Amino acid sequence: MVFNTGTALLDAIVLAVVSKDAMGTYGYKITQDVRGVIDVSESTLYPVLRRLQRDECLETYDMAFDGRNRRYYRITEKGRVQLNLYKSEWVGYSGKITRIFEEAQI
Amino acid sequence: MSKDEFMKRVEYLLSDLPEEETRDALDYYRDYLEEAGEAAEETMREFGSPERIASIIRSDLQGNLADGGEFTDAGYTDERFREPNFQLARREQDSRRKPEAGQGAYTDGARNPGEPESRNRHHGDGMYTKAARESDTMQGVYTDASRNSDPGQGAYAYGPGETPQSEERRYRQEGQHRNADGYGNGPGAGSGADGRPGSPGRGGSNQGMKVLWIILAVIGVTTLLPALLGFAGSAFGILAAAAAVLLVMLFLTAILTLVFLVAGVAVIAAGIAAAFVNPIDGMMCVGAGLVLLALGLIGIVLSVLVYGKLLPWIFGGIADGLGGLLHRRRRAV
Repeated sequence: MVFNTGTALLDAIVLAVVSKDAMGTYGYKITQDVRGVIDVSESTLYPVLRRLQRDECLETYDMAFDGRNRRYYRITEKGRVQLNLYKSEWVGYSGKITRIFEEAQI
Repeated sequence: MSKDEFMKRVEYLLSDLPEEETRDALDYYRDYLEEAGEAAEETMREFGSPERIASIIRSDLQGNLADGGEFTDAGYTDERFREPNFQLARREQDSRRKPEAGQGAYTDGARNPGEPESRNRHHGDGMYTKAARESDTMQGVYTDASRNSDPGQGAYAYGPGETPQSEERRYRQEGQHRNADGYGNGPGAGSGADGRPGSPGRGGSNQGMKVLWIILAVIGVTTLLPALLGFAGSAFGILAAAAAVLLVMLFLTAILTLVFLVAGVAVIAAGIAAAFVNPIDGMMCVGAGLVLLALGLIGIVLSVLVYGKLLPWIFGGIADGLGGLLHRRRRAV
């Protein structure tokens, strides 16, 4: 993508992806889902998840799966508030950008 | 390299850190490769190398991810972790200038040299990173200095989003700077203290002697000068007086000689004239005239002696004295 995505937008995307599953989701799936939207390196989502966890926007819990532990990430109430803020910001922002493109003479 | 070998290598590279700190991260990547299943091979290729993953984990634990990289749509992007070979080249460039500050144990041999696909992709990502940071307000604005990602280079500027760890790290660095300053100042101050006691003593004695000499010279001059001046003045006065007397005497001698001669001739003439009227008075006048004439002749003789011999002798002596002085000076030169 030619437009870069700032930290806030990346956080918003990750939070949105995680929030889709009420029971939470795990690292590999989060990465694949995010990669479905933007081009993100497989190795580099870990620090983002760590940071969101540190900011208490995400919480983790372990659950056995296929004979081993799988770490699940779940959005917290604080994360939801944050995601809502991101979403409303994005709607306003992207709406204006979309409008200016629609008005543009190409 | 199997995923077990890969993770073993990462674990080994982080073995200097407490296990409870690295466990979460190791579990994450281990699980990730596990979940990837058949795609694990490709995932590892995208991971780059165990060294790169270890560096990401290490930086995250040490709280300097914020200093080094940025979160973009490509996830976390950091120059240090961009690409094994990129990092290696950079490190070789920098290695002469500054020490590596604990940024993961990069070992050249274990590095996987060729990942052209991921390299290209990473370079592509890199294009966005700078602008991404500029538009990033939630996470605090990191300055270029902090992004430089070389601890020990100083000049850190943290945004509002800085973590406690990074703050602590900064303090530590400030401490180091302070230490460096301390060491820098220490020896200088010491040498200053050492150097002082010796030289001022010597200088003081020299100056004391000089002052003493000046005082003595002043006292000597002030006390002796009047005497010397008096002596010289009186000597000069005596000489001048002698010269004046001599000149006057010479002048008077000449005048008197002339007067005696003229008077002698006149008196003799008058005596001869008177001898016709009164021979005795005439004879007395002639006699007086002859005496005066004789005195005039004596004056002439004296004048001849003085003007002809004494004055030339005096001037000759003076000239000789001056000539001797000049000669001596010339010889000296």
